[in-house]
Amino acid sequence: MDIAIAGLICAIGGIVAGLIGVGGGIIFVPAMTIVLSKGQVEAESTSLLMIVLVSMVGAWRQRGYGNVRLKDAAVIGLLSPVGVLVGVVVANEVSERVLRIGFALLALYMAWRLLRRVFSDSATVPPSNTVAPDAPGP
Amino acid sequence: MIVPMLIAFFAYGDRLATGTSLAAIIVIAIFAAGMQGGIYGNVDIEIGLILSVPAIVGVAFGTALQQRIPEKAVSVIFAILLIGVAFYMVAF
Repeated sequence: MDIAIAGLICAIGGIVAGLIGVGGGIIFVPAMTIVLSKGQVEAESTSLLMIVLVSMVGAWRQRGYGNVRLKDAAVIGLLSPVGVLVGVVVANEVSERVLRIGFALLALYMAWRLLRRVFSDSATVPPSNTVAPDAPGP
Repeated sequence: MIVPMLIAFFAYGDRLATGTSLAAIIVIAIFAAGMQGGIYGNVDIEIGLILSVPAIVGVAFGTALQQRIPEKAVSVIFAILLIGVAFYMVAF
């Protein structure tokens, strides 16, 4: 029974992954720790296996819809270990409070950029024809 | 963080950002699995494969659903998530 509940939660995790382009681990992990009483490390490691499979299918579907830039994805993927290393170094140098505030500011800045784009595009009025077609010539 | 970064800083459309993010996550998850000491010790392969079945059905459904909702919806969802994360980071 528990495995059915965990499966249902993972189906929802998969939908979220497809809808917003994330791995889904944030939902897969609690499905295993809370419902299946797995340890945190085992759940996280197992979720990585799931994320590999889910992101493969998701990317394949999105490729079919014309929504994947493979070269950019490869660059992002290959640069990610560098990002992790930089993150570890920064985390060791800076106090946790400063780190949290910095991350919060970055998140707010991105939220503002996203919302500005949403509203600036939808607020764009179609160009009005200001030049009268029958304006008298010179 | 990949999707909002691609949209906010690299002028990606919402669907293009989510698709490219999923492709990048394949590579990242493989790296992460390697860093975690590999697929061997800690992974419950049986549970992982069983739970992957509904998750894969879900992701196929989610990507299909995404083609039918307004493109800007993804940006709005992420903006709300980011504001929530910012609040969480400072408050807790």
